Amino acid sequence: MACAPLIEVRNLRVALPLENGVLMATDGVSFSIAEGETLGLVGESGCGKTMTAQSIMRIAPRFAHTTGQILLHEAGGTTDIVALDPRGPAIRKIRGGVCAMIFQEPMSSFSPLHTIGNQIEEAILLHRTQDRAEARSIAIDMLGRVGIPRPAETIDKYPHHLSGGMRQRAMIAMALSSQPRLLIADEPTTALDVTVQAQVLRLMRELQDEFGMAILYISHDLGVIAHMADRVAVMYLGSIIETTDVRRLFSAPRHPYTQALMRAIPRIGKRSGERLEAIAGNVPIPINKPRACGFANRCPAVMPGVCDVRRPALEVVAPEHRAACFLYPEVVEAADV
Amino acid sequence: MSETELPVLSVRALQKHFPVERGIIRRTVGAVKAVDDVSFDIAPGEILALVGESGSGKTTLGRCIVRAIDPTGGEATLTRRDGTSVDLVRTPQRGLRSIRSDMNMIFQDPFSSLSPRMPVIDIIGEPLRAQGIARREIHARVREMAALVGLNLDYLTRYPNAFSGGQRQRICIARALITNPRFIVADEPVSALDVSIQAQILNLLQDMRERLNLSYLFITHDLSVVEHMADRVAVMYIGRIVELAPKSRLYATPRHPYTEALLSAVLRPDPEARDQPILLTGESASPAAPPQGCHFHPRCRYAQDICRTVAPQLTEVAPGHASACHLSKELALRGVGTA
Ligand SMILES: Nc1ncnc2c1ncn2[C@@H]1O[C@H](COP(=O)(O)OP(=O)(O)OP(=O)(O)O)[C@@H](O)[C@H]1O
Ligand SMILES: Nc1ncnc2c1ncn2[C@@H]1O[C@H](COP(=O)(O)OP(=O)(O)OP(=O)(O)O)[C@@H](O)[C@H]1O
Ligand code: SF4
Ligand SMILES: [Mg+2]
Ligand SMILES: [Mg+2]
Repeated sequence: MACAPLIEVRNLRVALPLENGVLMATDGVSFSIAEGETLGLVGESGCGKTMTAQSIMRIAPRFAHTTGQILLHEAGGTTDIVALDPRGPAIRKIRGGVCAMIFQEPMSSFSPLHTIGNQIEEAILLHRTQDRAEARSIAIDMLGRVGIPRPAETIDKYPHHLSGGMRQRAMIAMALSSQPRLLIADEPTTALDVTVQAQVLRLMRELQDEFGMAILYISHDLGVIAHMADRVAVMYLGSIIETTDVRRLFSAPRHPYTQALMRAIPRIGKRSGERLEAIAGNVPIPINKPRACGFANRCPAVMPGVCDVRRPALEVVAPEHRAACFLYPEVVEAADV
Repeated sequence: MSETELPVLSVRALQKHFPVERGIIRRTVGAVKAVDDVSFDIAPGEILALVGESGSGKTTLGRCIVRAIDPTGGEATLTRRDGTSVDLVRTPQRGLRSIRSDMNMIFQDPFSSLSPRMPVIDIIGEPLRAQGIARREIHARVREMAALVGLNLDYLTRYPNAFSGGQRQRICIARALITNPRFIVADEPVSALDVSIQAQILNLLQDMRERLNLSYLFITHDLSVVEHMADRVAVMYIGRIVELAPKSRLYATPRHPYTEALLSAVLRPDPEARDQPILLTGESASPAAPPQGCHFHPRCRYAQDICRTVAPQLTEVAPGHASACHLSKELALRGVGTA
């Protein structure tokens, strides 16, 4: 990447102590995102995508034990977010300001007691301007830009007055109205139909072009990822198992999980009515994870005695392309050293 | 195959209007025409997909047909396995119990639609218990159905929270199929699931169609899934069907501008694709106050004077292909490639 990274995640581990063992929600995740860049984060349900995002905002569950580094590089210097007090003033300035998040579940980010306008204006007043009238007009403008009908009226509605799709758009407006440097979008368009989705995605790109915003885009919709991401990281069972630029990932995926994922999606134009190639089996629960490849129990290419006794590291297997799989000599070599 | 060519389901002029109430005394001041004059047929073994804007009335239509809610008007005639016909709209709630064995609904959310306090074997068997079938026979049928949908028979005495999302959706499907129905409304059956499990469930639904000659009304906003599953597609916009056609015709040669916009907004899983979505400007209208004339005219890039005043009727534009647009004979609309 030509640009210096805005955010660098290094060896992030989030351990959740539960009654029946320690659940490794995120297990040694590393990535970086440059200004103006979009990193797509994909992977099976429960693989730790939301936990990774929550760690950047420092809103992971209280009982979670987080280690590693999350470095935020700004003109004024570098901050390690992991080292901040999760309730202190430093993280509160970052949260909703420098870094904003669009949540998977829209209800969780609005309070039912205040109008959506009040809540969006609060965010703007905290991070962008002191002027109430200006904050209100920014909010109305944003609501209009995410396609909310009659923004000047809708702004005074309470969250429960809005349909699911409208609430999701109001939340997107709130996240974008503070002009964040990093936008974390966690399944932001799942409740929206495709025409509204197109409108919202275009808005994110416009703001990215205007302000050089970096985006961490989490989704299981590979169509959206292909459209939005510059680079993609694929997660499985708490770890990134493949990462490269979006074209390489779709044209030549290296990890057997990514390959299986690509075969499992229905595509327009593919002979329809044909059976989809489902991935057999289920994801294990990451409690007391064995030292093995997380995909070993479902992998069509599994090598007994290799994949189930050691954990493959994420290594360079082709130019600009990393994968964590023992099918690649680079990974075997790294494990033997 | 059944000996008759009658449709399994024949819906005519179906309506569901929700009252809009204001003030302390809840005066009715208007109506949300969530479903407004909808008609279609579904043949035995056919999958009819229902797509459309969020809030256009898809779920409401499905719930009216299975009588989870009562329609305001119209007819929905179900041909039962024994060859007799019933109008679902006019059947009183008490009479519905026996009809439920011929039709069922799979709800969108596999998490909230399962009772957490019942073991899975009882959840799946519930529709049979409602019919007063003996416990021993119910258990045998549950095991048979569980095997058919690929659930592990050793786990049937567990509670739903011990199952993953995909397994729970299988439980819902087993419950919907256990009475050997002819017709199923499937409301977004895979949208809560991730891609690899989604593929398992779609394959399962197709297997069931082949084995049991089932028909589906398949509601979804994922047009790639529609293309994979459906025989015909109905497109809804504010309470009405605006286009209805065999799947490959609809994708290749749409005849309604809203369908064109929908298809253009599908993002293909291909970073090289330079998709050019048609952006719909203007507000999406509310079914409480739909615009005059064609409901779509404020957002339609082809709209003319007639569109602003006269409501277009759903009319046949080619064999089996109907569209509700004044200009559908003239316009050359863009579809998406089907191989
Ligand atoms: N509060 C919690 N208590 C216990 N386990 C949790 C908690 N929050 C998350 N987990 C577990 O941590 C793991 C990672 O969860 P996370 O929400 O990050 O998954 P995800 O990749 O976002 O999945 P999805 O695609 O379903 O949203 C999962 O196994 C999940 O069950
Ligand atoms: N019980 C109700 N009372 C009043 N209005 C209702 C009720 N249920 C639904 N509506 C309205 O009817 C319209 C159709 O809703 P419906 O849930 O059928 O839409 P949908 O097409 O399934 O949308 P989505 O794709 O978002 O699921 C919406 O405008 C909704 O607000
Ligand atoms: S009837 Fe007119 S406004 Fe409606 S879709 Fe056709 S061209 Fe557009
Ligand atoms: Mg998540
Ligand atoms: Mg619905």
